[in-house]
Amino acid sequence: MMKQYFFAVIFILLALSSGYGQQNGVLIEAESFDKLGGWLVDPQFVEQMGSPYLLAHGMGEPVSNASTSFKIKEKGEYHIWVRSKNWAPGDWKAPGRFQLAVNGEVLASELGTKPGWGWEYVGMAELKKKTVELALIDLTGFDGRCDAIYFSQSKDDVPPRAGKALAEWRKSAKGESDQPSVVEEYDLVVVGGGIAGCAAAIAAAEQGLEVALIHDRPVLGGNASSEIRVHTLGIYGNFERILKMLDTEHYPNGSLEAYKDEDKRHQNISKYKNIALFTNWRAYDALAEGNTITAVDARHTSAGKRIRFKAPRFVDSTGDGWIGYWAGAEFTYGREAVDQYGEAYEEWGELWSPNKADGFVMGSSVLWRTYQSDKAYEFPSVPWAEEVAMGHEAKAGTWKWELSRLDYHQIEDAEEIRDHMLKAIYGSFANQKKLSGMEKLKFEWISYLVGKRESRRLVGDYIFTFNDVTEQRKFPDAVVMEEREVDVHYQQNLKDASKPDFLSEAIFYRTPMYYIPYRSLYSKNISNLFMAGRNFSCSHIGLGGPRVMRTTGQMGAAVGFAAAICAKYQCDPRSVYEDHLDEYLELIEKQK
Amino acid sequence: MEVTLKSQENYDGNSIGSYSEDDYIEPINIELYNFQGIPAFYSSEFATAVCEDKICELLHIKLFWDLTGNYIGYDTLAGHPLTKFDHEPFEKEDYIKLHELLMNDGTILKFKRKDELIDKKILRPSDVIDGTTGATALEIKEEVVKGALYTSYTLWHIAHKGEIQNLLNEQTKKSYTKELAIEMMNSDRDSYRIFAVDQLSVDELSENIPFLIIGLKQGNPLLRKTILQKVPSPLWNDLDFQAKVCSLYGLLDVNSRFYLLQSLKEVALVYSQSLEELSKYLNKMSKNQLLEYLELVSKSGELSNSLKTNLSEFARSENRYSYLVMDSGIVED
Repeated sequence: MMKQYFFAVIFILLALSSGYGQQNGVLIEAESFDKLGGWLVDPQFVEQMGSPYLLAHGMGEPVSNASTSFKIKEKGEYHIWVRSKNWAPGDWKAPGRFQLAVNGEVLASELGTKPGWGWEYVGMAELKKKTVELALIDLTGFDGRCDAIYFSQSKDDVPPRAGKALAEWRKSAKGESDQPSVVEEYDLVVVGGGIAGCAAAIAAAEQGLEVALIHDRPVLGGNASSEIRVHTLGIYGNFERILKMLDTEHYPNGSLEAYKDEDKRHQNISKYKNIALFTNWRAYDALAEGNTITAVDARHTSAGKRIRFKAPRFVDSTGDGWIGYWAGAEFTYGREAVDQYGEAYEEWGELWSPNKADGFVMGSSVLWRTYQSDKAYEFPSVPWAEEVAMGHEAKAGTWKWELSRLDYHQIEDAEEIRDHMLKAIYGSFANQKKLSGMEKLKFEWISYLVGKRESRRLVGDYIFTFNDVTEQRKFPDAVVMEEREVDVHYQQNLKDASKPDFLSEAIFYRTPMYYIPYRSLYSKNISNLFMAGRNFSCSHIGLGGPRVMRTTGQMGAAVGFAAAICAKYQCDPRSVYEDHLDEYLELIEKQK
Repeated sequence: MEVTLKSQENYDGNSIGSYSEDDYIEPINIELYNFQGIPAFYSSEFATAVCEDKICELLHIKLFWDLTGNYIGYDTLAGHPLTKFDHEPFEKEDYIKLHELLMNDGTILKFKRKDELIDKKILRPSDVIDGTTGATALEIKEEVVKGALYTSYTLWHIAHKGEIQNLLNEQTKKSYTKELAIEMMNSDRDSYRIFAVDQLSVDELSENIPFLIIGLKQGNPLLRKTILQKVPSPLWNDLDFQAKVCSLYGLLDVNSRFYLLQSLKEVALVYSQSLEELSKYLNKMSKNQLLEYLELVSKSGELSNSLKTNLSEFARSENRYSYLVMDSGIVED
C-alpha cells in the first residue's frame, strides 16, 4: 500500500509567495507566476538549460501578460536581471522580445535579445513597498521566453550564466535541501504518461498494485496527446481491451480530434483508484544503490515542489530513457554500423544503415495547422525564419516535417530542434501567405512540443533488431506482436541538398507478423528497471517498426503485468523470464 | 518532362536476367545496354496485369533504369498506347505526369497498399480498371495520373522494386571495368559517383584524390559522407590532403561539416594548417560544430599565432556563439 511521509520542513524560505530569497537578492521563477496570461510553461529542456520557463507562443500575435507578486524584506533600489534567450539571433530584431513591468511601471529594456540562455540586465527599480508586482509583457507573439527574474541590491550580484554553477546558485537561492522533504511509496512507479506509460500503469493497477504515474505534461498521451497530435498506429496484440482505453482514431496528424481521444484516456485512467496520477510533475533524478533504483525524485513543473517516489520497481517510459540514464543503465544512441547486427536493406544502403556507426537518428516533428479565417490578415515579416524556410511554401505540417541533423542530439539539442522547426513553420507560412488567395490564411495551432521519434535506447537482456523482423523470430517470451512496416526515416536533403533541411522521407520494409521478447523490456544492468516505449532495448533499425504507439502500448501493458508477477514473488524483472515465464504468459493470454 | 535517352539504335543490348513475383503474368526480363562496349543503362519490355480486385487488364510497357538501378524513363510499345478508365487514351500531359510520378521516389504510393488507394466510403459501380469503383483517396489524387490510379500504382512499384535495383547493381559490379569506373567517376550523377567510391580499394582511393575532392565539393551530402567515411588513415595523415579537405569546409552542407569534424577526431594528427583552414569558417559553424572544432583545437597542443588570432577575433565578435570560445578557455579575455 501507498505510504506517505511528510517530513518536517527542514528549511525556511526567506521570501514569501513565489519569491526565493538569499543574502543579496530575490529569485522569482517565471513558471511559478500566479497568473500565466497567454504564456505557457515549457519544461521540455530542463536538463539542458536548467529550469522550466515561460514561453510566449502566440503564433505571431502577442500573448496576454503573465503576472505575479512577491514580498521583499527590505525596501530600496534593486537591480533586476531576467534569464532569457534570443532563440533566433542574426541581423534582425530578435523575434521573441518582451518587457518587464514592476509595480505597474514598464521598464524600457527589451528582453530576449541575447543569444544563448543567460541573464540580461533589465535596469534598476526603486521598490517602495514590500509587496512587488511583476508582469511579463510579450511584444511579438513569436516565442519569447523567460526563465527567471532576479532582484538584487548589488549590481555586482550577477547570477551564474549556466551549467552547474547556475544550478548550485539556484538551489541556494531557493534554500533547497539536497532531497525532497515529501516521500511517497508505491508498488510501482511509472515515469512518463505516453501511451506506453499509461498502459503499464493500467495493467499493473488491474493486478492490484499501487501505482504512481508521473508525467511532465498536464495531459496524458505523449505524442498522441492534444499537445502533439500524432495518431496511434500498430495493432493491439494481446492487449486490445487496455489499449482501446488509450489509443486514437486514425485522424489526420495534427487534427483537433486528438482532444476527444484524450478525454477518453483521462476518463479511463481516472477509473483506477490505485493509480496516483501526477501530471505536471517531471522526474529529475533516479537514485540507485549499486544496480538497484531506490527512488525517483520529481519536481512540479510550475510550483517547484518536490517529491521522492520510492518503490521496489520502476518503469522508464520517459521516451528519452531518463530514469535508466540517471541510474546508470546501459544505453545506446544513434545508428549502429550495418554489420553490427547485420541489418542491411541492400537497395537503401547508407540511408538505411551506415557502413560506420554514426549519430543520425530519426528526427523530431512539430506539427501545425492553419485555417481560412473570415477576414484578411497580415502576417508580420519573419526575416529570422528565412534562413531555414528559404522559399518553401506550406499551410500545414505533416509527418514529413521532421528534423534530424548530425550536429543535433535529439535530447541535448531538443530546444534548438524545436526552434529550428518553428522557423521552418513561420517562414513557410509567410511564403504561403504571399500567394494569391491566401490573404485569410491563419494559424490554427502550432505545437510547441518536440514530437520525438527516437532518442536513447536502454539496453535489455535482448536487443531487438531488424533480423527479428525479417526472420519473424518466435521468441519463447514473445509478449508484443506487430505487423506494421519497418519504417525508417532519413532527411530529404541527404540525397538532394536543395531540399529544405526540415523535411524527411520514409523507407518502408513490409513484413508479416513479428514479435518482441519480454527480455527487451527490462534493463540489462539495473535490476529493478522496466522500460516501455521508444526507449526499449532495440537497435536503430529495430525501432523502425515498433516505435508506433499501439505497439509501445503493448510494451507498456506487458511490463505492467510483469510488475505484478514481480510483486507476487518479490523478484526482479529478469526472474519473471527465468522462473515465472509460464505464469506470466498465461496472465497475458487471459487479457485477450 | 523529356526522357533524356538517346536513340537506342546505337546501343547493344544483352539479357542479364529476370525478376518475377507470384502475381506477375510474365517475368520482367532485363537487358543491359552498352555504348561502345561500356555499360550505359538497363531496360525491360514486359506485360503486366493492372488489377483491381478481380478485374485485370494487360499493360505493355518498356522501363529504363540507370546503372545503379534508378528509374530513368519509360516508353510505350508499338500497338499498345496507354489507356485510362473507359479505355480513353492517355493525353500528352498524362504521359508527362506518369514520368514525373515514376521519378518521384517519395510519392505517397510508396506507403500505400493497394486496398488503401480508394476511399471506401464513396463506392460507385464500375467494371473497368482504373475506373471509379471508389473515389481515389484525396491525398493520392494529386500524385497519380488522373483516371489511371492502378496503372500508376503498378508501374511505380515495379520501377522502384528493390529486388530489381539490387539485381541491376550486382550486374553493374560484374560489368565494372576501368573504363566504366572512369565514366562513373566523371558522371554528374551522385549515385554513380557513390558507386564508384564504393568500388575503390584503399590504394585506389589514394590514387584518385582529385575525384575525391571534386566529390566533396560538388556532390550531394550522401556522396560526401561516403567519401569521408572511406578515406583511409594514411590519406588523412597526408598534410596536403587533410588541409585541402578542411579548406572545403565552407562549401559543405551542415551534415558533412559535422561529419568532417567527427572524422578528424579519429585522425592521429590534426595539423595546425588544417585547424587554421577551419578557423576561417568559425562564423559559419553551428553551436555543436564549434564545440567539436574547439575540442580538436584543445587537443592539438601549441597553437599557431594565426590560429590564436582568428579565435581571439571570433571570441570578441558579435557572433551568436562567440561565448563558447571564451567558455572553452582556449583564448584568454
